[in-house]
Amino acid sequence: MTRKLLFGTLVALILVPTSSDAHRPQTFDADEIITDPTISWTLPGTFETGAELYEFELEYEAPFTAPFEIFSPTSGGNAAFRPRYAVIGPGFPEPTNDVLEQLPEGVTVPEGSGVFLELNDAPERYVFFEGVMRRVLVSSGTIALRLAAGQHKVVIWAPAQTTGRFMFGFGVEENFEGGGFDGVFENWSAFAY
Amino acid sequence: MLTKSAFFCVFIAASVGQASDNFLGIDKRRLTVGAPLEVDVVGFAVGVHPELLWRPFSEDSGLRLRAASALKLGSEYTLLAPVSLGVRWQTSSVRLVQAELGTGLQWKAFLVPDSGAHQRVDWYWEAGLSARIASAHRVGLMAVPEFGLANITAGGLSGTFGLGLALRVTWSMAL
Repeated sequence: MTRKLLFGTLVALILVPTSSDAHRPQTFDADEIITDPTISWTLPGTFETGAELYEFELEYEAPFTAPFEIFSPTSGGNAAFRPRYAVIGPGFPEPTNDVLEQLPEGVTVPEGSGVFLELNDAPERYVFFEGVMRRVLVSSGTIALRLAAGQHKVVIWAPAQTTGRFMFGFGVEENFEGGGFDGVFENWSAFAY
Repeated sequence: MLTKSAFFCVFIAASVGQASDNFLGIDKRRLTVGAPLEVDVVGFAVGVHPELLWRPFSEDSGLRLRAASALKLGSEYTLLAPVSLGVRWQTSSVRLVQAELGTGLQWKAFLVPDSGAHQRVDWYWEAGLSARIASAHRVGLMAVPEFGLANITAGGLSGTFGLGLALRVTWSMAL
């Protein structure tokens, strides 16, 4: 009877359907940061001085829609940190002077490009439990952006030279082919704690 | 409810040692209790993971059924695992050093401030070594990879995926 019970448990394990919507981990020091902009990615970073600027580029051959958000890991008193980001590229509204003033120093908007600006300043932000790596993160809020064909640049910075850790996430399609977890093992503390 | 379940499991493991020749109708000589300290290295958390092992087939069998409960405190959440059920194979307990392999299912609740309890079922594996330090006592080390299988929600079970790796410093006592 006990053996049958054990066998039944093993069969049940195999039959349980599994799925997830995990982002592919990547780091900003990679030779090519985003190798395929149509899959989902997550990138961790740290503002040690608050003056750092994180950037990466996205090149789309056709219009593409994807959700974007920036997270603050809650460990180590980091929950109050509110990093900002902007997506600069064709198809977004032409920036007003107010928007241009909000961008960090040295960031320019090419002619013909517009800006999506996320100031991450909502009074209430939602707390997200990320079950793959068991992280608790505070999100700027998910927003779906319609990206026109062409080259886009994502810029991430800290307001008023505040310091803290962040994880930037975008995209939907899960894809870990070709060493998709390599970034995790090489940067364990950034992803796992 | 989760907290009550955890305390119940811990109480059973602790009280077994005080029973007479039988515990709930089971021959005590087939039982082992353990109280490992455990550290999660995927999502940092530290706590205790008391367990009760039962040899159902014979006193000399290497196969044990395992029931356990865990409570761990982490930097981002509190992890309560009210019930784990599984099997563990151990080499001969006569030897000084004993190898251990196990597998089973674990019900987990990640208690997240401002977000509630995120419950799921994980499939865990165990691999470890222990050494005899007294006639009935052993200490050892164990690695426990874990894989999230299904979320437990108000709507029932839904498939998921999750990673986990725990490291245990084990102590066990054969009754």
